[in-house]
Amino acid sequence: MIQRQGDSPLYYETSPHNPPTLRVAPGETFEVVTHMSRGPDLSLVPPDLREAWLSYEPYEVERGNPSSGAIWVEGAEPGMAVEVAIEALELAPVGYTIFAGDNLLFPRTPVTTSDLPAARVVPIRDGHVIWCERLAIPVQPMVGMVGVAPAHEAQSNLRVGEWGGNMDVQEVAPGAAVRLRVNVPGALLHIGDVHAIQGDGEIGGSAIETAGTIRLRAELTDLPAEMTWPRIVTPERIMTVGSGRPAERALRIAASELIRWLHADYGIEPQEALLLLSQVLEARATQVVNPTITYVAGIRREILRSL
Amino acid sequence: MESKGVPKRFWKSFWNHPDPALLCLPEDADYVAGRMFNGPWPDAAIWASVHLPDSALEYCLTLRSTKLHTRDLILNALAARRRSRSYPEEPSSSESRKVIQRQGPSPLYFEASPENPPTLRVAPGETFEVLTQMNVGPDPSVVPPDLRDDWARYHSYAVERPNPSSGAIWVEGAEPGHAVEVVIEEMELAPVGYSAFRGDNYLFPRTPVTDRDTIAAKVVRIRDGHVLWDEGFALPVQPMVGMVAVAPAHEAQSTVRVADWGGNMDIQELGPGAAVRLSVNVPGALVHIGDVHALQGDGEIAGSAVETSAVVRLRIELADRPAEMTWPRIVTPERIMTVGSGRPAERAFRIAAGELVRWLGADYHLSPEEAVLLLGQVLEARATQVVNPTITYVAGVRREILRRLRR
Repeated sequence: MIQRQGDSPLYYETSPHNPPTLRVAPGETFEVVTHMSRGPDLSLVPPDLREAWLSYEPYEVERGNPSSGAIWVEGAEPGMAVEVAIEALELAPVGYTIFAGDNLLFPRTPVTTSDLPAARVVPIRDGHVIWCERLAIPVQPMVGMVGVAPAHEAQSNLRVGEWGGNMDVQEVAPGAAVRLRVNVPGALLHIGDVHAIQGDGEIGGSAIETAGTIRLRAELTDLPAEMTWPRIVTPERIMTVGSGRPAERALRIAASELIRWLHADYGIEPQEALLLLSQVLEARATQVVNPTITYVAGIRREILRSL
Repeated sequence: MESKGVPKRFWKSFWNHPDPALLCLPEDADYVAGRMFNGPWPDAAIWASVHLPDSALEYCLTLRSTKLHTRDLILNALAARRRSRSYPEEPSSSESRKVIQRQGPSPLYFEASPENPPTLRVAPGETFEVLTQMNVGPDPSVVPPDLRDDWARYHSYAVERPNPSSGAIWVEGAEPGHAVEVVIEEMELAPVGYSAFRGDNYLFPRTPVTDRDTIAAKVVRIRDGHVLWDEGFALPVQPMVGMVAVAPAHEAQSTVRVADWGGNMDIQELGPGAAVRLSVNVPGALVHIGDVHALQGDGEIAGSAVETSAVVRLRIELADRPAEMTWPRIVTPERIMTVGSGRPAERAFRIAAGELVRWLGADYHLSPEEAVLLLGQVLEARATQVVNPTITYVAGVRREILRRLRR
């Protein structure tokens, strides 16, 4: 019997004070049902989608990016790292995207005249986002928000920091895992914000926001001494995450963390690692619309193997 | 050096000579070089650096009157000549029906400037070649012994400043209001390259507590389509042209910079099969090309990629400039892309994404809001370099998606 965390209660902060709603053992497979963020006005929903749309309660959510409860991981203690491995992700058959006409990339100006916000509610069917009659885009399901409780405070689920949070990294998907530093006993995992697909930068301010059922497990390890920010491991790459403003600061964090990782685990001197990464780094801002920008920096395992 | 005299337009350099028409080359080459290099006319000095024999250039280096910046010009010209001799001769007209024009690595320009005398004239659509000059690499002590010969052949410590352009290409018929499309057809890399971190750049600035010795460098062999990074560790090459610029309208700009006139964009996609479109600012466009990389990671975080020299085979097409285009565009078989540059990186991203939204509006009839919503899902974007004076951001969308949008 697989344990399941339903989409109630919804937490809007990642907090050490949130009462845990599910207790899992390390390595145990469980499920989390995530709730869609608050959607656009019903008048913007095509009539044939309204029934499915309303069944996902898009207006129950008062604020952005709710977490479905808080998961207590048995035995997790400060000094450990928790690895959240995504095994499978099932999407709801409907999703939306909205551009409110004002974000960091495209700020509203006194002379902006267009009739915003703009939104689109779309069916998600047979592994595709049906954007319009002519265009069906293959889905790339991902989990936008994965965080552990910060040590000293509650943090909004819209934010990104060393505790994870609203990272919006496309690679956090089935087959991949996020490693986070445990700050409080039980780690208190907060999970939400599933996207059917997302472009680099998430420039409209939202991706294809939808509800999902995530099958996952949490593993425990010792915290690597040099790790201060989240890491992502996929079958093809190892990646680091940094967040800040301006975007350069986010990249600086991610690139430095990767250099430290290569030094610790692959024995490459920092300067050597920097020279190598200058040739083979894969890096980009995954979102530029949250309070701070997320940058990921990765290297292919294939290259690491030949080292 | 076949010409027997000095072209009439440079007789101004011999204003106190009884009759410049009597000057004879190569017999009077030393005298001619002394006058042309040390006069006030840059176009004369550049002509001399291209057309006078090595011996005359070397003679000028011995003159006390030769100024420092003229010495640089001469040293660069000599280095470039040595290097161009190490490439195969261009096919002569008797062997090949169509002669491909070639711009050698001389003169080297360190600014993209409307004042640079053109060094090659090409017709739109004509295939030609440019030999680019490697940046100045690390100290000779870093060069492995088995690479020293090639290093001496393809690299020169006499190149005094970074990112030189090999001459300036005049495109026949190009006028303000046009766009040039620089199409990269093929690239042949030199067999040696390097990468270096000088212990201080924008991403990793030197701090009061940084070890002052954080300077790392590597000179590598490039062979059979791979960079031989270490014993038993080879990385496949991804050849690219880092610097492509047109002359800005109003001023000379360092070829280290990036802006709406192109420049040191350092975009990995700008390799064989791809093209960059630039707004023409001055008659002839004056295309400046250089800074070839064998391989580069996103952000170019050490401050350099695998820097090398190359023969770039390319052509330049002319078109009307699209009304909504204000920054460079890149087209590849798979994607259309826009380029933005600025600080902080958000500003570069904003320009690139804004240009792409405008492009989708003009060519694919999407309203700005529709374009932003769609790009929110399918945009491919990243900073290609964060170490030049301003950051380069590219924003692209796959043609496969656009094909299905076209009405």
